[in-house]
Amino acid sequence: MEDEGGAKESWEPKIIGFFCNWCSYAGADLAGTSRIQYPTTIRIIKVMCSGRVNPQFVLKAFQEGADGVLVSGCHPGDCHYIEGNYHARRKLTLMEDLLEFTGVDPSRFQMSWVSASEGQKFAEVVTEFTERIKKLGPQTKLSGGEG
Amino acid sequence: MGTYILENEEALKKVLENMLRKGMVEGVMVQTAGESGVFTSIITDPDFISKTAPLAPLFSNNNAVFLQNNGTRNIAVVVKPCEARAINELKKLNQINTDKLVVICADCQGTINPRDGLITEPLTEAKKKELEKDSIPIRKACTVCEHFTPPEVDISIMAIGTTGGYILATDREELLDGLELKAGEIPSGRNAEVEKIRKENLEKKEKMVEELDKKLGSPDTLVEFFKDCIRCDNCRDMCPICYCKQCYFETPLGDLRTDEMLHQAATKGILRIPPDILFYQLTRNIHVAAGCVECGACEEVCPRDIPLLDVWKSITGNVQGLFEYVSGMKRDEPLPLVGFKESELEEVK
Ligand code: SF4
Ligand code: SF4
Ligand code: SF4
Ligand code: FES
Repeated sequence: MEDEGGAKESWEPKIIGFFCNWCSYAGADLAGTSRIQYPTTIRIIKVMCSGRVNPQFVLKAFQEGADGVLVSGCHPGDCHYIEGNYHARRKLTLMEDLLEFTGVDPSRFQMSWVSASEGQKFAEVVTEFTERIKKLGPQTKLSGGEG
Repeated sequence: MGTYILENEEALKKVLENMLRKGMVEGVMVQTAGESGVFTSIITDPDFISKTAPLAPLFSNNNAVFLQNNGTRNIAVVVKPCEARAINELKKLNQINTDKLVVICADCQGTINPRDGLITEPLTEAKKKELEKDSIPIRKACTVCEHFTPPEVDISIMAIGTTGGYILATDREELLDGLELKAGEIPSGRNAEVEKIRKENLEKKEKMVEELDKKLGSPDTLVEFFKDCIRCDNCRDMCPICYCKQCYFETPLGDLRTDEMLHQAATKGILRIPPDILFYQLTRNIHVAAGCVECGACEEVCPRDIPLLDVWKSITGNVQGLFEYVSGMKRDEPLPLVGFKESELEEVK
């Protein structure tokens, strides 16, 4: 899948993160309080559980101009609602499958598991994801005015 | 399972009439040849059964739509395989109570939209040639249909592989009480013949998907593909699998008024009306892909002639393949988006 628009020097990607309250959001918080450096490209939206993330949230984010979307929840087996992250994994894999079909490069979407103690992992995930989106350039497939 | 011979369509009508007369069901939903055309009807008076055309190869919409939220009274329904699959899928989604239905389904060799011609005998290869000569098109969905034999139903009627007449198969022999049907056998060559047709249709389907993928491979083609959509909601309303009581697009979030439209327009300086066409289609795709029965009803009812089925063929194959699932074939089987395995999709780290 081709994506148009090479990245300009000054351009900074906009990344929307949906993070679960109990693990990943706390992990991001830990990164902050521990003063671990991570890119400022990410805007985090707190959800109670990754299972709350409706695939429509992701599409909507792209439609409103996000260049990448990251969904993060507790590791398998650790979800505070027992199975929310397993459901999220299936639902969002389905959505990822569809993304390709829209022409949006599916690698603009990522799911990852980050626990409350993994401030370091959080920073790494965001850094790597930001690098990837920078290479892909701005997302324009779903954010045009005609759709 | 009991298997019996039905000499012809009349014998099938006798089965329907018998169910009504004996009070096994209170009505039969079946195609009827009326004065103004052939249409689906619910018959409660057994004397009307003689006017029915249960196997007429016509399809204007998927009748499973009208069976959602069925009540407490028993009804028999004669449906096409794609309608029977929709019934099964809706049963798993708790939208149909199959205990109150007697689902009767026959092999389907393709259908035509009644708008294009009114034919009451089921299609055969010879009949299809005739139609071609008269330029009466078989529905596109049927030319690429992979599941044209009955899925799990109460009574299956098999035509493919027989030398004239039909074989009726059922686990519910009580539905035949009082009839004297001759025992018969599923023809030995049936499977081979079914597979042959399936292969032909599959090849056509693959070509269809390939063409679409080629088209969508270049920038902005999805917008282009849906450019004529007027958000009339026909495709949603006539889709048996799109069953929500309240659609997102009828909530304040999805049914935008001018204030929200201005807000959306402001991010790009311009907003197309009706808004959210792509978002609407993609939402339907996400909600329906795992259950779509590829009946083509959506395309049939689209006033702007958008080739919606092509999209569904492409997406449904991928998504159901991902979960190793074929929608509607069985009545009891976990739905892909309800169940999960702990150890799967482990590429998520
Ligand atoms: S899509 Fe298949 S099952 Fe449905 S009417 Fe056409 S041939 Fe029959
Ligand atoms: S999306 Fe179209 S083809 Fe699929 S089940 Fe609904 S009406 Fe039938
Ligand atoms: S039926 Fe056609 S025009 Fe109407 S909403 Fe669906 S795709 Fe759009
Ligand atoms: S609570 Fe964290 S994924 Fe469910």
